[in-house]
Amino acid sequence: MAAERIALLRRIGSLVESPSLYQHLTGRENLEVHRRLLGLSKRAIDEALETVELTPVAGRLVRNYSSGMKQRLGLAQALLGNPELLLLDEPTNGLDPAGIHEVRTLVRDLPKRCGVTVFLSSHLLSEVEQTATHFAIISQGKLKFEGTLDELPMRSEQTIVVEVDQPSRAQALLSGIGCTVTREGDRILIAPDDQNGSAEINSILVQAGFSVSHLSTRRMTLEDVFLELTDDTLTHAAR
Amino acid sequence: MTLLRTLHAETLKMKRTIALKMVLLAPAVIVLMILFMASQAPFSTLHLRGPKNEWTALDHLSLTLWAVLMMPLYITLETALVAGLDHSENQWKSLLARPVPRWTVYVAKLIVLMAMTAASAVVLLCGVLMDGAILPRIQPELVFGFPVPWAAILRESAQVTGFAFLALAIQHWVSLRWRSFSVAVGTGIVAMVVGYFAVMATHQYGGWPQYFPWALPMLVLAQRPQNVEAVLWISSAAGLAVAAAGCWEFCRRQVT
Repeated sequence: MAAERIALLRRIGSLVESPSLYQHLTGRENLEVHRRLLGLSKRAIDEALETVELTPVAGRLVRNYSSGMKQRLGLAQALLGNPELLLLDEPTNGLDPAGIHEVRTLVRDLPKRCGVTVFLSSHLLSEVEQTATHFAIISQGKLKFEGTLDELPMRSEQTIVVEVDQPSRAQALLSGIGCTVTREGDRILIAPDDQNGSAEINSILVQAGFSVSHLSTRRMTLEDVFLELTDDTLTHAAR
Repeated sequence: MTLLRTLHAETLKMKRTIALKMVLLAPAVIVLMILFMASQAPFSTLHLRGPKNEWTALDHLSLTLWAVLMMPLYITLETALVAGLDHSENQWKSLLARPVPRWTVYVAKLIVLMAMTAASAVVLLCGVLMDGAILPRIQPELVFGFPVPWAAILRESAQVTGFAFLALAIQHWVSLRWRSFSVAVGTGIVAMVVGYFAVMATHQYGGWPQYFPWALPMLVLAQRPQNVEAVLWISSAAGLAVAAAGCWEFCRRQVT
């Protein structure tokens, strides 16, 4: 059992939220601690530093690193030994916008650059949407969805967003012809249906004398779909 | 092989730490203290039990101050600081996710601590030589003759260090078991105070207080019992048993 554990751990790298780093050591020395544990060659450190683009600051003490740099060093640590699977749990937690961008870009490129499968667990769905290629939605211990972004149910549906000079009257008009309409401030949101596309809606409003200042379509985000899929009330109603 | 790799990693962690600096600083305090004492009073009054040779007298005095005043505190702080390196910043989650058997982590840390304690004893020995060179300038009547009685000095120093192993093994377990620095230091300080009383109560309660782990190093210096070698072996065996128990517990516990 212990031997199996060691063999499995050799194939896995992980970064759980904030990285575990020795603040009194330099970036290179932090990696050196793990290189020694894994019994790797010194080249492994240079490769890992290059992957996370920290080579120029590798000699600096970690306590002087920014949070984004620390996170990237944590990724380098996890990548030592070329694992087949990289487990990341909330890797952008506590980072500033620049740090989030750095880590997102890096994580997105890792499969191409290192041939590693990245398993990312996060509650920040907009982040996940921008980073991952395949998704799994788990709610209350049950797998609700697994697949690509395009395979997400309701994902292809597009809401029409309209801004007009008299939104209340326009809402009443559109409801009258059978559209499902909601308000978001001054904007009118029209749920997609088979008959009325954005061109038809525009034509109806203009012919009725409204001045249309904005018309666009909005695709459901991962967050919207997640909320739909994990909404208990809806789930029960569907049954 | 894995133990060597883990040990190699543990030694790097010591870089730039207070724990490493203390290897030099702690014995240096004793060396300087003796110079200060000698500048305030004739060296003859500092002969605690008056060994004949000046070198053994100086070594005996240094080791006594080391064993009573500094070493218990040194062991407490070193074990707490070494454990603290991995208690902080959630190091365990990263360290124990590595393909390394847990026992190697526990044992490697213990070996590092033993090496640092032995290194301090060596530094103290160097300090004794330095004091031997400086003291005649402070008190011209003092003559540190040659050859230096190395065998006696080294044996006494090794025995004091060897007797510290049991206390070191206990403190190592406590420091890794509880995340809080206060628990480790508090345990060490309480044990140190009890150790002082044990040394003072050596002749009471059938002589048992002298075998209190934190009082053991004083056994060599204060009592010099006939069976000191035997006690040293028994205490070392007890130290190994404590280390094995601590390691067993560390391997099975959910370390956070």
